[in-house]
Amino acid sequence: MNIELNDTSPATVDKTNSSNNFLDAHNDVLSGSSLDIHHHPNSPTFADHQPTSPSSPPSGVKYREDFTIDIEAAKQSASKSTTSRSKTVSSLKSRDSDIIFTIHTCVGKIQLSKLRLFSLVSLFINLASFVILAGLIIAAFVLQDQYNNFWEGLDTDTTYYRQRMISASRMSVFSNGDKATTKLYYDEYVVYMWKFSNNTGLFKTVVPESVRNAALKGKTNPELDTTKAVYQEQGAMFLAMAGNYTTAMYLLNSATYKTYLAGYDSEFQIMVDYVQSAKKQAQNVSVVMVTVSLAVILFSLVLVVPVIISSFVVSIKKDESVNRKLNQARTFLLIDTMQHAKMRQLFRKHCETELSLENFQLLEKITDYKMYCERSFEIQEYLYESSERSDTISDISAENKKKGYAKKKFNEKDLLECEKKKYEIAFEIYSEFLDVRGEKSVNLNKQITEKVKQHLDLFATGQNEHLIDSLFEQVEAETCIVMLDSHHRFKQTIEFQKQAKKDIITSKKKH
Amino acid sequence: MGNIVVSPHDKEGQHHMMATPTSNNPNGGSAATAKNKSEITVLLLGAGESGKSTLFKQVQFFHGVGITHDQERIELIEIVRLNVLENAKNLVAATQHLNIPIEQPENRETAKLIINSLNTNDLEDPSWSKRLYSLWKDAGIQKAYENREKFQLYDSTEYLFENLDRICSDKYVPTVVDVIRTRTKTIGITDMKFDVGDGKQLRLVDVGGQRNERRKWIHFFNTVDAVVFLTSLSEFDLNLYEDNGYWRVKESLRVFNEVVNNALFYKVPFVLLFNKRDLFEKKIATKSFSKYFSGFNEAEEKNPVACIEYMTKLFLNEITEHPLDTVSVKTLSAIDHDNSKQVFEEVKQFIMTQQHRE
Repeated sequence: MNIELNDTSPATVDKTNSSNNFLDAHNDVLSGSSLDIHHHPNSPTFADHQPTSPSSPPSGVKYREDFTIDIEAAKQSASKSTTSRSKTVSSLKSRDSDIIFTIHTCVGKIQLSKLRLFSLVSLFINLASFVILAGLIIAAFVLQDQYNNFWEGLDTDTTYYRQRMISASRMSVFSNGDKATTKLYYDEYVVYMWKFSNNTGLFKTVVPESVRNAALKGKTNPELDTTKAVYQEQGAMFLAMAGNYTTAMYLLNSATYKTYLAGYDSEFQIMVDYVQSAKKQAQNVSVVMVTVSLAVILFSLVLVVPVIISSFVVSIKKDESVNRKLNQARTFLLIDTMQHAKMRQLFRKHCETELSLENFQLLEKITDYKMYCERSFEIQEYLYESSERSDTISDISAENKKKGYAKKKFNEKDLLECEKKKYEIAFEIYSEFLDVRGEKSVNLNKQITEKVKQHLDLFATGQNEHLIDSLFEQVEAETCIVMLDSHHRFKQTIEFQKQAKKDIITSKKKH
Repeated sequence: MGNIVVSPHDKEGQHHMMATPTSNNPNGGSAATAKNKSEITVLLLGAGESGKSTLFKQVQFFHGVGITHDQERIELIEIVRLNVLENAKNLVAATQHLNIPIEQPENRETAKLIINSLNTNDLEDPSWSKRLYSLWKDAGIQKAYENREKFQLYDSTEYLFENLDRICSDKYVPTVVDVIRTRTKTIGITDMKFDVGDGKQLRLVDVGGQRNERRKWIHFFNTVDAVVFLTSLSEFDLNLYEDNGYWRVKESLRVFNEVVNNALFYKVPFVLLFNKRDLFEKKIATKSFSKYFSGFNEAEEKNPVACIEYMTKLFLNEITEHPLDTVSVKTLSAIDHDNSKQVFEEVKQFIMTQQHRE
């Protein structure tokens, strides 16, 4: 016999806890076999546990379920896992049931929920409003452009120019013989005459012929009184500039000149009025266009703003609901963390930093124990079915093949070995983690640890043949609850956030 | 140990005691003084359930970190609901243990479900609010609650049951008070830092208080600049969580003795906080204090001040190797935000003053 014991060996523990019956009996249990009881420095982690039996379901799936059930059991809520999963399913279903409209397109199906339809309507109303506005703005621009082109170079100050010409000529002539003043006003006269001529010249193209005929009454340019008056003004100013002020003043005071001046109202004022009214009309069109545009904007605002606000509110509510669901999901992240290889390592480091690694290690050990429980059950199942099959030998071969037992056969010795291994791990868990004097003693109620001790006693003294599978159920439950707080802090760490982001990006890439 | 000078308690019920030194400790090993350090490490010590983490959470809250944010509190829904379930289970188990029948048949059905299948997800259903509240009000459960010193129950039990209508809702977001009053066993070591002026930062370290967690405290003994030791006033009639046959007061005194007389803490400012004053005052109104302390005058047992003074003497008598002028004693109600803020501010000032003295 070769029994290698470390600091958690029965002998060591015996010294500190003489009342531990199962420890006294420990060597008896192990007698006749060569066993190493050690700390398993490289003990398998959660994901590493892969049942070797070919009859077992795929390791990852099986283990994942096992662990979930254990954690749930640990929280004494056996149905939690199912509940949370069914919730996810129901939330997906409810998301499906939100869809009220489906459009089949060449590139696939577009499914519209109430919110999406609402947003789409809002988008269409927005688009329609913008199109109408664009049309109005374009029309206003074209009209304005046309008017500008039409009236290019023509303003509504023709009468004013003419009045400035008359006053300039008079100032030039009646300057008390001051030639400089005469010249000054002559120059001014030329400026306004040019402007007046430009406008009257444009009348030909912009004023309809009927209006022109009504005003000019078929007279040619030299026959017009206004033309004659202009000639007389020019003549008078020339005389004044030559020093003959008396004759010049006489010309501008003459009755003939005054008659010519009166001709302006009948010859040009009609056309000037026409231009002014046409320009006013153009301005009115612009005002109408702007008013209509504003009305469209107002209308679209009245329609769109509530839609936008509603969409926003619905989105926020939806976000809140999604966040709440996400947050609720986060409360289960201890399970997720333990199942995720990288996260598990990060969490392990976090526990190490917080000096609470023993809880993490305890969960790992319990998982080891449960793995052997599975194996024990597998062996017992085989042995039981094997005895059943002995009555029907003819079928055994087919049966074995079908169940995958062809390659693997167990016997009573295997079961014994497995139970011993279970005991070793259970003993190790107790002495190392549950005993208050243990090297990695965890924060547990004495009642819970006493229960485990009793089971170990019964097995060690031969009163029980098997250690129960649920031996550490309550221990695991308490440990998981205790670790929730630590895990909560872990979720606040940069490492966790970083890894979570990586996972999201990876899953997005996959999709 | 010299004479203990007990100052009269102030208006807020703060009980401040300063003890006069009698001798210098020849073995006075000490942690390095923090006068010139930019970081002051303050260790929150005490036995399990003395309120270290509650005070820690309150300090976090004063400084706008942690539970201040909704997001953080949302993640604690599970823990709050676990507290409700734990309390409900413990009460139901206590009725069996104490042989007190649950009176109403529908409450007995609820009790069965609690023990066998109820989980935290179920508490999203508002109907559970009524069922649990009905169970809580059951005469049997109330009778068990009156005898709560005979089993383990969280201090927040009454608060949680009185707030079931909020907690049992799918829209439930824990409030700051919910989180403060939620009991979570601390494992390992957690800390936070905040500025205290003069370019200095205070590092507050929270630790687990149960026996197995105490071996981790030593990691900080060499670097600590001040110790705040918490003990629960209301635990005078309770036994330990980790060892149900062991009186909590005895454990607390033992731990206090070990810590305060540790040579490494000889020059370290030491604050003794008597926590859960609110619960204590309620408790002594109905329970006998003198029953647990033979040396206490029975006639004074309904007087909280006299009881606290007695407790203070008990603790200060444990000090044999620490200069008493560096010890301050205060009372606290850590679930009370304002009181925690005021007391912690005083503690901070005391520590800073002590350091300046050095």
